[in-house]
Amino acid sequence: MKTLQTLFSYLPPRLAMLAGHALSLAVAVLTAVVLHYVLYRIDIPGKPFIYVAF
Amino acid sequence: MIFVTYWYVMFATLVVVVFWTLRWPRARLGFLAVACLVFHAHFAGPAGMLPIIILMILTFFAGRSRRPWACVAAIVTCVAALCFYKYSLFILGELVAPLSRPLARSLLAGTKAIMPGAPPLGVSFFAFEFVHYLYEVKRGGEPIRNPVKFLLFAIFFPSLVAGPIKRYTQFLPSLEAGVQRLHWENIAWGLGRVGQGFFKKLLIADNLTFLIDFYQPQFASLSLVSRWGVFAAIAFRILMDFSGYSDIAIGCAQLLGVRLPENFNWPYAAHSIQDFWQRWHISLSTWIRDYVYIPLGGSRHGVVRRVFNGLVAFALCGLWHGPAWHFVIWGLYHGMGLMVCATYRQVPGLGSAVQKIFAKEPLSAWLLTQAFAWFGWLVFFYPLPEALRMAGQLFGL
Amino acid sequence: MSDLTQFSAARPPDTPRWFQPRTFLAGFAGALVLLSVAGAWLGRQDRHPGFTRFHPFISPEAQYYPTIAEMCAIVRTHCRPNQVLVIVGGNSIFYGVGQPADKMWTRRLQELLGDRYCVVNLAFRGASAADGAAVVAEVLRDEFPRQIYVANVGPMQGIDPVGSDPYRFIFWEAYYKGLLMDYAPRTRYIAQHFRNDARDRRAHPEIIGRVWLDRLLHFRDLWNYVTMEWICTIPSAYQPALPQVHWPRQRFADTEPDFVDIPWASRFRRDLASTELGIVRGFTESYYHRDGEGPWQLAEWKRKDVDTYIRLAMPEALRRRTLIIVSKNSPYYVDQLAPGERERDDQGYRDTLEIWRGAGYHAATYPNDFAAADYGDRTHLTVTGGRKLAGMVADDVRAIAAECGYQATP
Repeated sequence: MKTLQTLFSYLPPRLAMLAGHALSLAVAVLTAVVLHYVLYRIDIPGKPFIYVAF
Repeated sequence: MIFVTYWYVMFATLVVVVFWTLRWPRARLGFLAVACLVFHAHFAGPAGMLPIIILMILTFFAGRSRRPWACVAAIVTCVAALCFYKYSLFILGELVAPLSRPLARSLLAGTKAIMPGAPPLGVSFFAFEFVHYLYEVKRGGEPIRNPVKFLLFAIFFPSLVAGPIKRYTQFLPSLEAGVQRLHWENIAWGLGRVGQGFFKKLLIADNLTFLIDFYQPQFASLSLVSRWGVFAAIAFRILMDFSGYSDIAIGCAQLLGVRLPENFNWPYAAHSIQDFWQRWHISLSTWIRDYVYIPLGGSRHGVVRRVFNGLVAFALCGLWHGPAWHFVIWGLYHGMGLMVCATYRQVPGLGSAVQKIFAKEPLSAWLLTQAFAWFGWLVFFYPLPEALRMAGQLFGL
Repeated sequence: MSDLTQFSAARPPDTPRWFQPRTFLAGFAGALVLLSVAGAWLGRQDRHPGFTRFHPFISPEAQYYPTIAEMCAIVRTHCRPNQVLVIVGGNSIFYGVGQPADKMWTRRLQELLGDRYCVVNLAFRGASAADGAAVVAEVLRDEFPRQIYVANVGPMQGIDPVGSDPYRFIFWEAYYKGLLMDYAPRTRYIAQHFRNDARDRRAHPEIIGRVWLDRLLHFRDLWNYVTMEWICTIPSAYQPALPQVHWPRQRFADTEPDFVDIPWASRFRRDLASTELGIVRGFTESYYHRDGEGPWQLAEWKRKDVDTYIRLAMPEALRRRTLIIVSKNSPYYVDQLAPGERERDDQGYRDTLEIWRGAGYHAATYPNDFAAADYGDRTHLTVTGGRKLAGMVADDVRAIAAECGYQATP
């Protein structure tokens, strides 16, 4: 995070702002994907059903 | 697994939305208190809430009285409750039974008759928080006079089940400041933190668990590289699982504007055992330090007493994780490591030589620390003979 | 009070300077909407080109839980609206264990019935007649009004109206999404089920939560698509290890072995004979009594029990288009029963057929020409046994279609 902060401090203000928005958007999309996937994963049981012929 | 339920997702979403829709901070506090009670009732059941409600009332009034004897009595009650719910069967089976089987048998029967099916929800956490609170009040700290704020401290739903263990001197100001106004940064960053936590828990830890469960039984027949792979998987699984849960808790709290203490700080970057315990389960290690190690005397009474205090503190730290001997052994293992780390410099000749090597080659200090910690996980997860066997098999033995 | 002052600042202290919270929240909401729309759209596409049946890699056995939309899409891809839809459900016997995909009995059934009919095998290993296929058939009742549902049961077996583990999730999805027929007795049974079944009672909020959230966000369809086409993120007993654990499920084929490749001695093991015989006896042992050498009498409580449950499982209108086949055990074992046991077994089949027919279902059992060689084990049929089954079922399906007035046009 500190490296990122340092990188941003080297950019011109306008570019830093645009880059900040872009990065925030990217993180947002990633978070949405993860949480959407979490809803799917909650449903999957830890131990699957094992079929045994009887 | 409480966070990984649809009920929790819907509950947390509803709570956050309603919380910030309310106009007044007092209303938010009241609503949050009700929400915490609903959360607790859902997962513990009305009967399961009884222990925490009783201990909460006891702790609140003991703290408000500010009388040392009341605080001590409440501390003893909280510790006794924790021991009863979590450790009584272990104590009876492992400590009393070797001395007198008939006595252990009858006590076990009697205990099982009155014991609930499962320990009260979050007993390990709220008992520790109550002990911390009472200890600080006894030492002169200001008690929480507002019952709603105390209730929130006691059963704050994001941290109730899996920590971090809160300090009331941090939690209260954070709560009071957090409910004042909505900061979009908290909502956004909190969401991101929750996402990070679930990523670690579901995508990494749970999948590693499956791989470990599949490969570990065949450990002896795996190639050397595969064995080290499983070994690394064991180490990363616990980190991702535990830190993921902490991330979810911290993120959920942040959605409500409340700051919880950080619990993990890149522990696998630690370059000494002391450093490791300042990065791993920070809220627990600092609690053990402040309420077990230091009250026992800490390092104030010479090397021997320091070593003893450290071993006791870490044995209890291990036992906190579960009522089983291998947790105690794991705790003692880390206690011994910590004591060696704290005192090796004083060994004539060898101490300063090792210190020089670590200074010149920090990588060696890091490698040794991680090897120590990772081998400790074998003891944590597996019975001692199996853990030792696996450790030997890592070196082809 | 220094802790207090650091939190009264306009911006929480930990947030980095580059972070734009409103952009993040807008992006998050937008991404969530897009993912949901994608899931809804994908749910209507057929993700199973070349579908034969739900083999283990695309079933709950391997942690893959097909959605209602997915199963309906399979039917829509395979069948034209002017065909009579024949949905096959039931357990491993009707799934076709021991019959490779290109030789499974439902293929033969399709050949025999011809193009006027469309046969889709939606049976699952270990399922019941109320699982999966039964639910899909009910969901598609308006879209495919000319339909016949075919499934199998064992003698003296009823069905739980809400299905059985681990396939009950299909019923709950359809029920809570309002896709099933209004059927008051079943609704009352469901309320009672949640009162009586402690595990499902605890899971009730999760069941409802999953369906409601999925209705809104379509996560099951989206991530099932990803699992089928791109990458699998969930290990299972079938592909627990790298690299297969992450292969998309479409990469795994239906590799059901042929019973003919398994030696007879392995299919009918001597050391398991007494266990298998015990199972054969167990279908009827507890429910029948007789006085001396008189006829075997079915206990009235059992008759009532089976009858009650099968009436609750489906509305009457759907029972009329349902064919239940009471699977028989291999003659290899049945012929080893004592004469009295054999009579009881036969009576059990007669009574089972009577109970199902009495409740409004069509019911039949295998004809007497099924030999031991038609079986791969005690219950599952070989390819030749499957062909015989297909012949028998084809006749019954045509009869039901005629009775229901299905005027199928090519």
